[in-house]
Amino acid sequence: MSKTQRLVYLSLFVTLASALGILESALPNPFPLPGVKLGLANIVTLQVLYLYGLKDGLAISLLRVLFTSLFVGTFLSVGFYLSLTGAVFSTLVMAFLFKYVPALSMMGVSIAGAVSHNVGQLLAAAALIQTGYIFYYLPVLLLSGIPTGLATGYVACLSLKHLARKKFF
Amino acid sequence: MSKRLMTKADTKLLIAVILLSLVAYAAIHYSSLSFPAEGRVLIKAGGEVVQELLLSADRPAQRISVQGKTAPAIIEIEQGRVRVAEAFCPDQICVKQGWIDTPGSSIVCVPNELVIYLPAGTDDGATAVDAITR
Repeated sequence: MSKTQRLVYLSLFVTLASALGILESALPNPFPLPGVKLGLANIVTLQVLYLYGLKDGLAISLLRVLFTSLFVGTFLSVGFYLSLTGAVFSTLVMAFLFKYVPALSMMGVSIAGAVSHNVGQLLAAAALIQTGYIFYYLPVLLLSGIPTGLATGYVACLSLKHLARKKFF
Repeated sequence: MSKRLMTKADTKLLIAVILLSLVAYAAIHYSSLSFPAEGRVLIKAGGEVVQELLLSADRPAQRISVQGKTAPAIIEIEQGRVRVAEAFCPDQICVKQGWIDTPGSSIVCVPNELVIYLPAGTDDGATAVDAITR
């Protein structure tokens, strides 16, 4: 893959991730719990990590959080810092699992990513509001990572198979 | 990518997350972090604490009479919450406020100089959720 091709693909991935993030914020949250959301953008992070590795995955996550917050209007708000911490945390965890735990499929990595995103958010929230009481919420956030992780992992898996068939990569 | 969607390792991870959340739940439930259920109610009249009661989740309902500056007031306490049931002040703001149950919240009756306050945990900072991410 040439440098230009790579640049184009990564740009498309950033756009896709940002668009999914904006779309998700426009949809009513199917989960009536604060902090629990589907994490559609995680689909793209998973794929980029799988195809390109940690460095590009991290870059895409950071840019996605930045663009989404700018479009939605949450830039530099409390929610922005929570998203940022969650995104960085989950990207690092997923990259680690892709590299060192090959036994896990994309579904497993996706679950770990969703869970670690929630844990990262909670850590950031605890640091921001300076209270340990927020860890009450930990079991809810851990459990909620399972269905959302499965859903995003499944979509990532299917669409990646499709992309591979088209010989884009 | 494997042909099967879920590998054995995936299933193990899934079970581990469920177990972890159960352990976290149990740890929080049985630890000293237990929050509003064990809270206290402070009742102040004329700036001085006249009554201090526990606001446990399983306490029986109780009505107590507290002498304010101008008139007595009936305060009702039940499972984890408290309200002013009757007062003899002109505006009845304290009565209309209804039940409070969150640490850090209070009912204040100005004419009667009566304050009912739920102190927040061990510190005096607010503990309620004050931000939601989306």
